[in-house]
Amino acid sequence: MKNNHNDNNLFLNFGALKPQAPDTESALEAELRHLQETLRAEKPLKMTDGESRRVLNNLDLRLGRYQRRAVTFYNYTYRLAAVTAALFLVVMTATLTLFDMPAVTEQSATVTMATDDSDSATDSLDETYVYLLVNDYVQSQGYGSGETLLGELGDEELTYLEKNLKFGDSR
Amino acid sequence: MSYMSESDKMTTTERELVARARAGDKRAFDELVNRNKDKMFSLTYRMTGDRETALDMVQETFFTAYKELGKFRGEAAFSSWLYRIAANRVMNHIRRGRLLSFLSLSREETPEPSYIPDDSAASGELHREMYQAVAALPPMQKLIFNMRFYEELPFREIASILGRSESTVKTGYQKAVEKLRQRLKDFR
Repeated sequence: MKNNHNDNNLFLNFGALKPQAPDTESALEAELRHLQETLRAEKPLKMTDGESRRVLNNLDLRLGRYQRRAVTFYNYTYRLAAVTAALFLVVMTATLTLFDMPAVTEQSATVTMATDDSDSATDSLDETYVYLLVNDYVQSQGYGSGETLLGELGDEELTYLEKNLKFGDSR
Repeated sequence: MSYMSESDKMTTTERELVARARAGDKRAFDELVNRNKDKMFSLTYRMTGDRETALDMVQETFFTAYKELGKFRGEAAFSSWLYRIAANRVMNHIRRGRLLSFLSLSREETPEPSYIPDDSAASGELHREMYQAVAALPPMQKLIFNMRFYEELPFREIASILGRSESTVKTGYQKAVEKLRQRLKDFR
């Protein structure tokens, strides 16, 4: 924590406008000074030497692994194989779709109908439904599975859930 | 180990270090880590209130920075870029916590900040009260408050880090201060 604030910056520090009346100004100034002194009374938050060493060592290990992975020949081979396989699948799917159109259409219609039958009430995300679903999962899998279930969620998924379940910042 | 003299510790030095780190100079990256680790720890610790979580986040922040170094355009200070990574991590962590809490998968939403001074004097009680008040601020307000009040970043820089307008940041800060003032009044 830095300590170069002074009284001249008091109003600026707290984003407060200086009142016109002198009495009000001195009262507000005293209040803000008290607030500032209270909040600045703590020690600076720093890592201990041991913690710092631990973080740097762990970081070194991770960076070392990352660098090795990044330059490994097998990594490129693996990626090349994966891309080739994906391209092959896309081509095959396209070919099958072109030559087997009726069967695919029939199957799609069945799937669509089944979905419509079972899921007509859940067009949008319903928080009770999600709540029950997740709790069923947690009860069947045991304590700690909630973290596992949500552990892999990315930013987009979290934003979507936050918006639809309204668990976000409401204050 | 220092790469530059004290007088050169401005953006030029930082740019050079970043350039060297990009070129694969691990020691240059270590120097960037050493210069910024306490800032990142201070922010993540204040935001999470948990020392171990903050240490993990510091590590994650620098690991992400290393991986994404090629994307750093050098338009802002390197520390601003790090703050952005750390802020994203922190907000993500808090949202996960809230989601777990919302779904009743976790017992507590916000842990008791472990940096609250542990003394029994009357002033210590006031300090605890105020630290709890900061900890209880809504996450975005708390982030803005910590960046402005403790890290002393300009509003413009905070706005750039958080990808929000300067006026939004100022409003968030004023709301946070107002809540803290009220808490202080209530304590008297």
